[in-house]
Order: sequence, then C-alpha cells, then structure tokens
Amino acid sequence: MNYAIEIQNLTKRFGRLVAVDGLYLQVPQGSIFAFLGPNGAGKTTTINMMMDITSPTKGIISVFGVDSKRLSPKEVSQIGYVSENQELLEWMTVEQLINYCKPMYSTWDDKFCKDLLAQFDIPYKQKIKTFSRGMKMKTALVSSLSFRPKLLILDEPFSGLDPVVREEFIDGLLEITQNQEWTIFISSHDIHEVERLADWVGIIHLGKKRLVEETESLQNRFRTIEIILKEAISEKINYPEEWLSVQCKDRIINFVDSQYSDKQTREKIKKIFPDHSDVSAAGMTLREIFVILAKQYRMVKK
Amino acid sequence: MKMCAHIFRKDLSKLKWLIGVWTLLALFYFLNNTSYFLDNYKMQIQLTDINSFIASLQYLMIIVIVPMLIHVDALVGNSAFWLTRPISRKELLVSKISFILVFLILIPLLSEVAVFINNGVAVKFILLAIPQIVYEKLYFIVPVFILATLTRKFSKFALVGIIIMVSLFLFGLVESFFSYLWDIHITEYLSNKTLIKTDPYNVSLEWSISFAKMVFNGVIGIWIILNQFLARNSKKTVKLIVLGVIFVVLINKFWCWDILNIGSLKPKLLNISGSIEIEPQIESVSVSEGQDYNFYKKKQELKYKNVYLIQDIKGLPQAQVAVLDKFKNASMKYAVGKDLTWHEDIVGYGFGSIYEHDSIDAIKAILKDTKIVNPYNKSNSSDILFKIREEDYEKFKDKKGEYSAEGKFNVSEYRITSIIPLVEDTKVWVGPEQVVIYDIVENSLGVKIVLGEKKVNLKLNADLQKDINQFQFYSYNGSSQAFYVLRNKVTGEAYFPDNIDDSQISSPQYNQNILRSRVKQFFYKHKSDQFFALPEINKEWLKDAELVRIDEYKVGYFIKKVRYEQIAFNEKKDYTEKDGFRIYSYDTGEKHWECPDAEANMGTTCVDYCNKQTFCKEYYKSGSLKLEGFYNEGTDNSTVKEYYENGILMYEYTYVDGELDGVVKKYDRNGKLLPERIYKKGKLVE
Repeated sequence: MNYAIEIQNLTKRFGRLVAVDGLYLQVPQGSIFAFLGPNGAGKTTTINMMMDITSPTKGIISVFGVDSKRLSPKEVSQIGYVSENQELLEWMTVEQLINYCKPMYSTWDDKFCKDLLAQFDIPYKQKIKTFSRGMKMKTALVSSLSFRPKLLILDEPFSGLDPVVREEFIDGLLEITQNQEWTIFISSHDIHEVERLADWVGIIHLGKKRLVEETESLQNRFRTIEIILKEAISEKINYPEEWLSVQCKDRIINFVDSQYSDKQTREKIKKIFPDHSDVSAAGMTLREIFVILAKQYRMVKK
Repeated sequence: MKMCAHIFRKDLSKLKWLIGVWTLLALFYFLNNTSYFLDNYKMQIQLTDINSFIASLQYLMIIVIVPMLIHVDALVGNSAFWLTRPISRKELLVSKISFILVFLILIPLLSEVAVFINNGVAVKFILLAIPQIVYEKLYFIVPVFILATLTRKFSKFALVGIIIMVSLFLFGLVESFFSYLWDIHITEYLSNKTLIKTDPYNVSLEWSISFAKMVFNGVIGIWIILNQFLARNSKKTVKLIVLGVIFVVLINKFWCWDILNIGSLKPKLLNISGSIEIEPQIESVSVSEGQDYNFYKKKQELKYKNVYLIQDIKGLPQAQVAVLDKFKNASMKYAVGKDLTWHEDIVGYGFGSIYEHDSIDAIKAILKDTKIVNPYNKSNSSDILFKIREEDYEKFKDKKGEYSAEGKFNVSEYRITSIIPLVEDTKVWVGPEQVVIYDIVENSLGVKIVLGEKKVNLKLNADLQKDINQFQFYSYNGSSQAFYVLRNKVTGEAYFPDNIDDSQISSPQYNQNILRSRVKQFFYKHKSDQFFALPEINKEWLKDAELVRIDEYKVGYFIKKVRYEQIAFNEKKDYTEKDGFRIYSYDTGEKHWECPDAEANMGTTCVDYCNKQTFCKEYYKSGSLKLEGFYNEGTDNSTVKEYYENGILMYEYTYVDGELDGVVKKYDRNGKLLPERIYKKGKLVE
C-alpha cells in the first residue's frame, strides 16, 4: 500500500510539555483519514509539523515520501490546507485572493474554482474581512481545492461553524471529493462531524496514538452488549480486557465489546455467565466508539 | 523570480495608498527644493522647516510601511497564509527586500538626486552622496525591519517599540540611582571609557571600537532577519539577541586593535610643538561660580568655582590658529601646602573654542593688499581651565600654584575659497557647497547681505571630527566656519561683518536629506554705536565690491606640555574703585574708562549701563576726553558726546528708549558743523 503521509516516532516538546509523544501513523493514499482526539491531544501540532509550520523535536514526517522539513514549493503545491487558525489575506476580495493564489499552482482549474464558488455561494467581489466565519472557511476551502490537490489537510474545519453551515460544508466536501483520487486528512475533536466522510480513523490522546483503523473494521468490532441474567450475581467477576465500560444493575449487564465476533463473544458470555437468559448486541456509531475509547484512555491515565 | 514579482505586486496592492503618499512626499521634497523657490530666501526659510516636516513624516511612514509589509506575510506565529502555500522563504525574503529597495530607498534617492541635478550639483558629488543617502535610509529602516520580523502584528510591534523606549528611560533612572548612591555609572562601565584606558591622543582605538560595534550590530541584524525568514526559529532568535548583547558588551571591553586602520584617517600629528610658545595671560584669571544641572544627580549639585584663563599661542604661521582640545596628566602644585589631588576636576576642562581675535588676525594675514577698515570688536572670551569645589577654593584661594599639563591642540588654517561678485542671484560653488546671494540691502548704517549656503552634506571628512552632530551644517572639507569679508576691489578697503556669530537666520535642521541649506545675513556697517569715521558704504562703493569667502580647514594637531606658574584662584579685579566709580585702564596703565560701579563693563558704551543720575567718560591714551554719556535726569533717554583727541566736539546724539533718535550732529576737526542727520527710532529719516 502506498502512503501519502508516514509519521515515525514523531515527538514535539514545548518546554516540559510533551505535545506529541512518539507518534507513528500511516495515511494510505486515496483515503479520507479522520484524525481524532480531544482538545489538546496534539492534532494541530502534528499537522503543523506535517506542513513544516513547526519543526519536530524528534522523528520524521514524510509527505509524498519527502521529509516535511524539506518540503519544496513543488510538493506544497500538491497540498491543500484549511484550518480554523489559518489567516486569510482578509484585506483582499475573493477575486483578488483567487488571482493571488492561481499563479502559485500549475494545476489550477479555473472552471472548478468557479463551480466551487457557485456551489458555496461566495460573493466574488466582496472583501473577505466582511465575511462571516463560515464564509471565510468556505473561501479558504475554495482556494485550497481549486488546484486539485493530491492531499487535502483539514484542521478542525468545522470548529465554530453553526450546524447548517457545517452540514453544507460536509455535503460540499463529499460531493467534490466523490470522484477525485484525493487523500484527505481531516482532524477533529468531534467524530460526529467526520463520521460520514472518513474511511480511516486515527485517534490520538495526550500526544500518543491510541488507534488507527479502517472505519468499517472499527465499526464491525465494536458492539454494545446487553446480558440478562436469571439471577443477580453477588461475587466479583474478572471481565475480559476487551469488555469496556461494564455496568451491572440487578440482573442486567451492559458493556462494550471492542473485539466483537458473534460466535466468540457468545462463547465468552456463556463461559462467564452460564446461567443467562438473553444476550443482545447492537452496532455503534463512530461517535459512540470514540467516546467510549476516550473514557477508557482517561481511566488508564488515572 | 516569478513568485518574487507576484508577492511584490500583492504587497504593492496592499500598501498602494501608503506608497502613494510616500511617493508624493518624495515629489514634494523635490518641488520644495527646486531653485525656483530657493531664489526667494524668505520662502526658503519656510521651506527648510517644511523639509524637516517632510523628513519627520517620512520616518513616521517607514514605521508604518515596513511592519505592514512584513506582517502581511508574518514570520512569527503559525497562522500566516503564506506558510501553507508554495512560496519559498527565499522568495519571500527577496520580494520584501526588493520592495524596500524600490520604494523606501530608490524613490527618495531619486528625488534627492533630482534635487541635486536641479541645483547644479556636480556628478562627482552626486555619486559620492548616493552611498551616504542609502546608508542613512538603511540606518533607520533596518532596525524597524528587524523589529517587524520579530512581531506578528502592528500592535505588538508598537508595543515592543514602546517597551524598548521605556526600558531605556528606566535604565537611565536605574543608572542615576546607582550613580547617586555609589557613584557607579553603568553606561560608562559598559562603554569603553572605564574598561579600556583609551589614550586620548590615539583616537584610532575609539574608531576601532565604534567600527567593531557597527559591523557587529549589522551582522547580528542581518542574522536575525535571515533567521526569521529562512528558519523561523524563535528560540534561536532569542538566543541570538542575548548573545548579541553579550558580544557587544565584550567587544566594548576587549576590542582594542584597529583592524582596518581607520585611525589613520584621523587628523595627522604635526611635529611643530618645538616651535610653539604658549603664554598664559595670568592677569586675566578670574573666578566664577558654576553648577552642574542634573536633576537626579544630587552629588553633582555641589558648588564649584570655575577658573578661567586666557592663553596666547605663538609660533604658528600667520593664517593658522591652534585650539586646545584636551589636557592630559594635569596637576596643580603649590609652593606651600598640599597639591590639589582631585585630578578629574582638573583634567576634563580646557579651552574649547577659537578666540575671535586669533581668527581675525589669521584672516587679516591672508588678505594681502586688503585694508580692513572697521576695527573688529574683539571679545576677550575665555574658557574654563579647571574647576574646583567650593570648600577647596576657600582653602587655596590666597595661594599661588603651578598648573602643568600635556595639551592636545588642534590646528586650523584659514584659506580664501572663493571671490563672489556682489550681484543679487549670483551662485558660486565652493566645493560641494553653493553660495547664493539673495539680497543686498543698503541703509544709512551700511549694507545688509542675505546669502544662502546649500551643501551636499557629505560626511566623508566631517565624520572624522569628534562629537559629530547631525544638526550641524558642515562647510566644505569639514570646515565648521566660513567668513565673508566685504571688499572693494578698487580701493582695497574691506569690512568684517558686524555679526559673525549671529548671522544664521535659518538653521539647517536635521533631516534625512543630504542637500542642506541655510540662510545667513551679514551686516557691514560704516556707522555704529562706536565707529563713525569709516569709508561710507554707498552705491558707488558697492559697485566695485565683492565678497571674499574664507574657510577654516583642519590641518592637524600637536601635543605640547604647558605650564602656568603663579596661578591664583582669587578673583582679580581689572579696575580700581574710587568715590563709587570704577576706573578701567589701558594695558599700559593710562585711564581708559570712568564709570559708576553698577554694571559697568568694558568694551561697550556706557549709555547702556550707566546710572541715571550720572555719566560715564572714556579717555584717549593721551588723557583727553573721548566720549561722555549721561542720562537725562528723570528719563530713560541719554545724550552722548564724542570728541576728537584735540578736545573739539566730534559727535552729539541722543538715545530715546535705547535707540538713536533725533538730530545727530557731526563736526569736522575744526569744529565746523557738517550736514545734520535725523534719526527716528534708530532709522535714518533724512
């Protein structure tokens, strides 16, 4: 498999604070990779190092096989970047911004740019500083998509957007990327935002990688399980490690199985609770998986 | 390069209004300095102020334009737009520097060169001025540029700028606190003064240090800019700044060789001390009180007695004068009692200025075949030789001592640099300096000549002078003084101006432009309060008149040990008192003046000073009455009578409210009344 981004042993320290701690990550080409983690997990720092905005303390990030510290304008011209923190040249009109960006990219597609502007309903002649936050994000997206980048990096693109604009943004992104061979690396602290987009998920917590997996595989192996016992249990039971967030209430036991397989899970249940009357399993959304994992990481830390 | 041009265009689009104003300022400067306006000197005086205002605006605009130029693609922080675009850092650097060169340097440079060309400045001087113009612009732009690269927004830039200024002020306060409590002067400690014992005669060391500082500051500055543009490593930048400060301090402390032999450019040592005689005029030693005014340095608010002394330096060629620059190894010994030991009070003072009579004598010496007809009013000015504390003065005032020291004397020479026809609008070049005669105004007292001096203010030579002052208007070849003598080329009669010291009516205020100008007016009087029997400056006389310009040139310096014996601190009176009158005498002992004691002064007519109820008298050496003046009783008005040496009345005139007013009677040597003249409030009416 070819990777658009490869991260090896990436570490970034700010004084005593370790923002990213020995991170390893591989983003397959053509994938839409959701880079998830709570606020302060190290997502933006990782992206900044990816774009050579800051330098790593240790480790290497390769983008298209090139060390990020040595990214030349040629490589950067294949990367689109949109971030909530990025400043636009707000004193310009959209037209001026487009005209400024266009000569930087040999792959700039005027027609595509116009289509995007129309799709996002962006006024061409208006100064960017008069725009709302949502409009500014859409403008940034247009300026980063119009050259058909091979890699699109979106750093918390939905932050601060109202739900309507957020939906519009995601719909637009889905529509645009549907037929493109693009790799999209999207970071967010809320998985719900990227659930519809992502085919790969990476979770980072306190600077450390917790999980990297294809969305489908992840959703297949996580289930909420409910067991109804015939009689309430009184003795302490050692549950398998993969059973997360186990809760007992009278005769009912709820937990999340992080290694779900219909046959094996049932066998384990039968072994631990031979006297149960019913077992039910329900699928989980990415958001539910993310929340349960985040809780788990916090417990581990404690 | 394509990308550089692209960023350049974007920046111009962002700053187009400011650049427009900037260009207009340069254009306005050009128009302001065209010869069309400058032919009118009254207008030019106004325009000199406008030039200063333009310069202030230009500085202000640099403080706005440069940070905006850098902050539009900020180098600090992680959010700048350019960071995620295919723009290389080198391209960004080249683009920004090109912008500064094209707009902030080239435009004002072109306007300055246009002014030069418009004023007829020679190509040679234009070429010499260009590096200086660029250097002076960069001298201000580079620090602003550095500060802009270290900040992200204008608000931060301004804040840091204010913090730097406040810090310097606070540093001054801290220093004064230390100096007040413990007599520790931090600035002196950090500078070379105390750490390196510089030889006051070997100035190359000082040049070496200042050169090293300049180079080092430049290197640090460029390093910071490159680091910010090419690496954006703020930690490294902070380290650089800290290291820079440490290195500058260390260089101040340890740098002590003249790596480029800059010292050799200094004025040369003249091996003439053997032929020089220095005679102090002991009888003119006087004492006055002095005080240092420094609001926070209370220790220095002690009262001093300043000891003055006049010296006469002989042995130089007639056209040369020598002025003491500084003393070294000074000491004061007494025949009885202890020596004065606080040498710092003795060493630091000397005769700093040229005595006017020396200059005039030198000028007279080079004006051969010319007869200076007006007896120039020599002033016996003197400078502080040294000062002592009041308590020590009390201790030593009645004793006589011997002062000895090694003195460094600067030698200047006067040379005729130009003969200027006395015709309005005449323009003459004296080296890189142009003299323009704006106006010639005759009146009953003589003539007033208004002239302008415009100068390509090259510092090539002037820089070699110590205490370079940017406000100063250096004449050609670093000379600091230019004299204009009014001469009739037919008769050979010549006048010194009445007001050498007070001739400047528009000062060359500091601005960043190299072409500077000032307007001077000189009065050449055949009539004054004191001198009446001189050749009349009238239309006929002026028809054959010309202005002789004389410049002072620095020749070099010599070192000479001086010894002043029998110096006493007690104030010597140069008059005797009798019945409430002061009697001043000629050097040869004859009575000269007889005046009431209050405010009496030599060298002036006593009408200005005498007591209302009585009168002053001036005598010829022969003892006959020369002048008598008295106030008319009960009024401020006074009457003056002047006599020939044979006792016959020469003049009779009246002052009303300090101005010549009424009939002026003049008699010939036989007592015959000549045609009367009538004055009204100082002006001749008929």
